[in-house]
Amino acid sequence: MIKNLIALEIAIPILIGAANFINRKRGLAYFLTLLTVTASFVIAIMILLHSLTTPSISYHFGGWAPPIGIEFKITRLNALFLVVVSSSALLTFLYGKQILFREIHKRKISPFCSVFLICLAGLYGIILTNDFFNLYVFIEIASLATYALISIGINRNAIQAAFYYLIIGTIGATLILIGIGYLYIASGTLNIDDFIKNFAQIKHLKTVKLGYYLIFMGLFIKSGLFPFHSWLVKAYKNTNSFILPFLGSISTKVYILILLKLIYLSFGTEYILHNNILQPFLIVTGVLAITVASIIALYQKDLRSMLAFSSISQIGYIFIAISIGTKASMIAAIIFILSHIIAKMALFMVCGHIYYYKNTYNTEGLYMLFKEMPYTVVIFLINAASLIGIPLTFGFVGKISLISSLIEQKMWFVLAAVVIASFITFKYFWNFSEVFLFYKKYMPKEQAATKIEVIETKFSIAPILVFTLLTFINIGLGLSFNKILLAAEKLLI
Amino acid sequence: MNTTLIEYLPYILCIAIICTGLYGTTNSSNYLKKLVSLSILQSGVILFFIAIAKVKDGQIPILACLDFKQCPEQLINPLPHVLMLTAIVVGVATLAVGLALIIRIKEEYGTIEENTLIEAEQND
Repeated sequence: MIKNLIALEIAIPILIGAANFINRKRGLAYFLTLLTVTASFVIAIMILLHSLTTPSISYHFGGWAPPIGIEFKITRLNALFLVVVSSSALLTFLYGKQILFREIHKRKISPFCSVFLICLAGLYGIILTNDFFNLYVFIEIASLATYALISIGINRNAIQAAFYYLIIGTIGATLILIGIGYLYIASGTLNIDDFIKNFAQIKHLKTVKLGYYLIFMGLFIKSGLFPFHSWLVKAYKNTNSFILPFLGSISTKVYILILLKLIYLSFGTEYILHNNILQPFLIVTGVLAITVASIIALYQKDLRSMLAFSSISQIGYIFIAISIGTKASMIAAIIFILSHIIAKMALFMVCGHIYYYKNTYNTEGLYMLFKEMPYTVVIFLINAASLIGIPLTFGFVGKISLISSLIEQKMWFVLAAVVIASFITFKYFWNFSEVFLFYKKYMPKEQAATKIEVIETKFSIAPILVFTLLTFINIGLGLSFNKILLAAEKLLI
Repeated sequence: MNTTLIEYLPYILCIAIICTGLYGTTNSSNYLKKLVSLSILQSGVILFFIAIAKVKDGQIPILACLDFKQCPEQLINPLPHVLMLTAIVVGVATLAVGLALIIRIKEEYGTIEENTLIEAEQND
């Protein structure tokens, strides 16, 4: 029973997504998609509960045993991320009905929902698959759907951003494909577990080395590591506000998860990180990401491009955590990924909510927002605190475990960069908070003279409920500090 | 006869095609040319996979030799070919999405030259 659920998790979104294309009624399309996403969320929860008792479940497609057939594998880590992705999709749909119906043309909503479901299935596939070539195919499915989702935007530049992402993303995916080819030449197998079984005999080969360099390079491009980040800013800045909470928090993190699994669980840190160019490369790019991207974020006037640069700097923290190469640092990386997903999703939702009422992302239109949308601004502040790493939030747990593993490895220079970058993070969020809270004197005179009313609940209360829920999750996880570290230990069995 | 050079030739060709594709995607300013270069890049990878499957004097892997355990060296490896069927489909899908985006760009901006488009983006 549970094994079939693994296949259904992928099959249901693809089938409903395909069926949705014929449908012309937008209300029905929205309802059907919401239902599908809920179903996949329930399945993910069932898989997670089952994986607590049996750590490893594998599903063989068509009944062919692994080295020949394609295998899906559930570990606790995979099951956890399955739940994270499906719950993010569910929350996005609960939050964004009004935004979806306003920003997207009514005839495009049902194809949009279809493409979203196919993207979701691709992301599930990336998390679950245990086969190199299957991984490539799912990466392409998810990416192609993502290009289409990004191309519908708040202005025409979104199409250009989608095209730019298509070019860069396809180059990244092609690099992954060549890398898989090299690994296949060396080992004669495509199954990851089977590959690792014979790994000791082939690990000295240059073919293997080139293969994983190419795969990692592709994954770096896909996950928006610092020198390869330009597509990310363009896409986040121009796309529609409905899809951004989902894509902005989930899509890059899934590729980081694959990287994490390959480095820590498949190839082994001893081989990949120590005595290898990859570790210094990751540290240098990570430090550059957290400092340079934060400094660029200081000068942004647009709320969403500030959050995009903040994403790049957060990805830098995650890569620093990955590059340390101990078990504690891997746990730090996972906690960091989770905390970033929760906080960034809430922030992008706040963004979309502000845009729905104010019709602008620019600071010039958002002076004294606190008077109009007090509750939304408070949520913004709490989640910004989580990204900065202020105590009592989930981001603090991630940052403190990163810092403790840096101290353990005596990487003082990197530690200094992390601390400085945290202060810059505080500064760029403060820039926007200042605008929201205090800048009355910059407002246009006639607007400042009139009495400002609270408008945030005029049309719908659903977005507020969703990002409040996310904020509660954030603080709840931040308060149960020790329990999280214990649970993370168990995650890796 | 220098056999090693002949054996390397397909790979050199693949790398040359891949490099041509990469050069085209980064250096051409016309979006259509970029997309075509991307296709060339993918074709190079497909050729690479086909090349690694080839066995000297090999046969097609059906019926001629039923016992696989005894004569794998006489058979051409079918797996890369199968993988490349999927990769070709993925390439076609990418091309289709790219062309659709180019049509939308042309509708919105009236041009598909990168320089003009960047100017238009900054003016928006």
